[in-house]
Amino acid sequence: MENETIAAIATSEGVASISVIRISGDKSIAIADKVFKSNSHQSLIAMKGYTASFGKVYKEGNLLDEAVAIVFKAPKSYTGEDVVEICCHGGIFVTRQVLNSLIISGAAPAGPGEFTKRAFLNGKVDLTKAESVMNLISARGNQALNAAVVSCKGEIYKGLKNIKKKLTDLCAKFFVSVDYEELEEDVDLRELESTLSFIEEELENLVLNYEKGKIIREGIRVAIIGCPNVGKSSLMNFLLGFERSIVTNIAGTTRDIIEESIIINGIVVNLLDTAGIRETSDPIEEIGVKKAKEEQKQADLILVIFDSSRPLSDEDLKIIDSLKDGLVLAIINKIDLPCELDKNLIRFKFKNVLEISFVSNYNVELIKENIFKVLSISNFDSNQGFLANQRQFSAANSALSLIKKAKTDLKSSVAIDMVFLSIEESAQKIGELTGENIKDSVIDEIFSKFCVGK
Amino acid sequence: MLFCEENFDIAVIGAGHAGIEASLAAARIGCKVVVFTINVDFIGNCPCNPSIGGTAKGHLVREIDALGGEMAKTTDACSLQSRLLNASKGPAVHSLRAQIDRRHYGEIMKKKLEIQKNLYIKQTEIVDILRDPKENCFFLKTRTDVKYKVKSVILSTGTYMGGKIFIGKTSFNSGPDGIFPAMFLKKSLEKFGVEFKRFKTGTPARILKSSVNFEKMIPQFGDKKALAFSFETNSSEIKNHSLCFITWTNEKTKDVVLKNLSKSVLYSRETKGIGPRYCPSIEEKFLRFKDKERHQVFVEPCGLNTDEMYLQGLSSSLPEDVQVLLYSTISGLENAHIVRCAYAIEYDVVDPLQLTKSLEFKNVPMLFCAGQVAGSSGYEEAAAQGILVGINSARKILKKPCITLNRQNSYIGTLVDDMTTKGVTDPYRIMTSRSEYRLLLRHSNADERLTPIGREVGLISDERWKRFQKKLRLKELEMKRVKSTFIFPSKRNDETLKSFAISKIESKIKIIDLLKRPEINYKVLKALKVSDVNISKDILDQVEIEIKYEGYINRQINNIKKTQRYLCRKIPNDINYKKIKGLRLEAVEKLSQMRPTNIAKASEISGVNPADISVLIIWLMKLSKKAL
Repeated sequence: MENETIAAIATSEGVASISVIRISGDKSIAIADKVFKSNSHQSLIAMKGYTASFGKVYKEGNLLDEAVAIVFKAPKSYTGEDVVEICCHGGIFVTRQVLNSLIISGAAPAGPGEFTKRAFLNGKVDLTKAESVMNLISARGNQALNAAVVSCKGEIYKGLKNIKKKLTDLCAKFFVSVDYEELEEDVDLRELESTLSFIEEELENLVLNYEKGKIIREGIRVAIIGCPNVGKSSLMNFLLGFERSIVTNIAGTTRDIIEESIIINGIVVNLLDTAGIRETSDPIEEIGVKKAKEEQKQADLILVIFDSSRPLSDEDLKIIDSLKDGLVLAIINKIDLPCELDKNLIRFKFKNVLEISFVSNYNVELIKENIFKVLSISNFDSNQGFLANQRQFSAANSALSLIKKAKTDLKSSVAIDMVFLSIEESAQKIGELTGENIKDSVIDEIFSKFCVGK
Repeated sequence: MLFCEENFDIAVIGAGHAGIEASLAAARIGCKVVVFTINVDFIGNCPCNPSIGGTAKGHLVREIDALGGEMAKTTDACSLQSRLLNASKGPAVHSLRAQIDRRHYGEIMKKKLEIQKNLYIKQTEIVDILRDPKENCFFLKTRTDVKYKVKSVILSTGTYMGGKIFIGKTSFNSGPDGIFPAMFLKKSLEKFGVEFKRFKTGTPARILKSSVNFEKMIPQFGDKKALAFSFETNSSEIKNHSLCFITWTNEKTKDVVLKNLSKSVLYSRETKGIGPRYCPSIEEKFLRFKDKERHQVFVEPCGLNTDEMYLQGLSSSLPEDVQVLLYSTISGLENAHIVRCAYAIEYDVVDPLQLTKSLEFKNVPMLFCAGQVAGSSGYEEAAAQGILVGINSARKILKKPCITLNRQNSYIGTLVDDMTTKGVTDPYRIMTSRSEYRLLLRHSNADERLTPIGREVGLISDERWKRFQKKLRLKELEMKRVKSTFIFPSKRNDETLKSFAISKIESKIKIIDLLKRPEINYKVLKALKVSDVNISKDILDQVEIEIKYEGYINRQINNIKKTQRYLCRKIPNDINYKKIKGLRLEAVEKLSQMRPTNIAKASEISGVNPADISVLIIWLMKLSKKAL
């Protein structure tokens, strides 16, 4: 029997330097091959089992990260099926994007314990292990249940309910016209099209807001980086509102990563103050610098600080080079001192630049605001809802593409029944989100709204 | 007490649409069958509408035919007017409906039972069923104290068990059409622990044709090219003999009904019976749909040898004088003479949650149940269940495995699955909206879906099987041909296409790719002279549908594949959910109550979540490992 190909993040979603995304199923290698391009231009499909390849991961043509892909061929894999494991840099953002890309390419998000379930069914793990996993599954399942059905309060539920209502109404109208043809209650095509457009827009917003929603739920990791003594710790302390980092004018004061959480506008912001990046002979500081560079890769947003009172150093330039296109807010500090910095270069390299001075308190009140602007969540309404997880995202996404299909079909002269096949399936997907059986709702609707019978 | 010397394999109680298909199937498979009916003149009676088919119901009739049943052929033989419904809405919802000569229908069916080898009709009422667990058989006792020994019993009593008719303030125990009801069976079955519900349904009046003013009504014609129900009937044999007419109720009708509601016993007291939602009486229509100005009324012929007309849309339990008043408000019915007045009927129904997918009682092996008594409504729904229980009862006696029809291969399977897993709250009517695979379950491909099953169980003759095989072969050849044949741009082709208002072909194209366009069909191909004239239209239709809707069809097939991964894992009958560690309490309760037969069913139950299903699968694996 053909098994659906599933994918999930296999490592925990906390702070880690490496995350593993696992894909299992008949099509796992083919799907991974669409997302991962090896540097040696070798296709994953051509690779033998137990081999690895270094390359890049893409989402819809955009580079996400550098990664290693390991291919396992059935039955020699964890699940006993064809498996690909993509090891990319840690951090929620990148990892989720990789998973997202795999789902767009045809993988289904794995349910709780699904890899182990398959491993067990294929005889790869013994019963004792399976049973311990079973306990795990049931424990996680209760959470999954809560997650599967979107919170009954909140805007998203109301929104989905409304969409579901509209879809079931449409289906009921259609089925009345079909199951009770004699009533001659045909579907109004113009009304149908406008309802579909409305639903399409609603679903599109929902899907677009998903990324934003994750930031809101899970918080954002903001790494503060820069050369030694440019004011990273001052920034940290300013945002925290208390002295957490030791601020001196001695370069290399902060050696380890200092992490603190604050809440800005209802969003958890995990601030990471890092060691100033420089070539150093101090082994402890060197470790700190290394960690700072890792943080840089994991963070959702980077605050990079420059000192306005001195020209750009080689290290500054290296930092600028390493930042490229990620989400970055460049802060030019010490604006109260005579300017020696090539501000134009900074403005040329970074879209978002803010000039401040902690000494004269110039512009400091704008820092928080700018962080949100860069993340494009400045108009965040904490009452607004978001899809909670990848499964919900995937269901909403399929619902959307089915509505699009229905719209296209409606425009061409395809039989009306085909249009409704897509609408019905879309309604089922929404039902997965609201936890309702659409078929029963449609039939109830037929009987309550329409006077049918002999 | 007398004892009938003769022993039978199977006893069928009731010779309505379910009983007919059940007894014919069982006898043809090779069992010795006795059919009991209270009145042999009412075998295959149609006490309600004089028509067969309709949306989804027509699909059932085709499916029964594909399995080797009789409903389609008999309908074709007494068809008065035939129409293909939803012709413009897409191939999945095309459905046939025929007005029939109701008396003729019953006569044909009676004769079919009479001439069937291994099948015996008995006019008598069964009042008691006893089970002998030692001998593994049943004893049936008749009203006149005769005993029959059988191996299996099929209960197909329709609305006769505990039947009670309501007209105005009057109510009395009765079956439809003045036949006496079966008043003893329920008590007998309760001994087995069978649980019952009480349902009600109704039928409108029959009026005299000569008392109707048809000029005030809109005539409804049959299709010019009528289609046959049976895959075995040549469609050219189907002729339209009669007209139907449409008229409407109005404000005056509404007034009469609402003012006189208190005169109906069904509205002046709480009745137990639950009426069908899909078929409300005129009282319910006016009460529930207050804003609707008017309701349709169809005036339909009851047969060629009668002048009785049926009033579809006016089912009622109001007293006769109010009925007269009510009709007098309707255009064309002002002087209508009522021959038989409308009535409501309450009857006992077996809760179908007690039945397996073979419609056998879970707690009483070899006792089967089919038709209206199992909670459905409609002749077609009854016949569909009938053929299934006939086949399975016979197969069990012959020690062969039961066949299961499922949601993926048929509307019959969908109906049985809905009824036995979800239960019924009102009489169950089949609808296309009940199926999640309607594009695969077309009425036009019922033979492809089910004739192989009919053949396997022994209901398809060698001759019919050969014809069916030939049809498949021709279809395959045509598929190959359209996939490999090109059409080239030419002046003649351009002109032909232009005559259909279709843009010309720019470069050479395969027929299959041309057919994928919505505006191209075999009519166009024929004009282009690239169709095979030797292949019949029904085959070409299937080829066209499968090519044109390939994407949609594949989507539904993929959905089936997903489900079937689970379908194969069966859950043992004696499973104790309480012992399964890790199942949530709600899931334990729901599963214990519903007792699904496999994983797919379990996952459909509300209150059972994916994590519960994983736990269940692992537990089942553990079970089978222990057994090894």
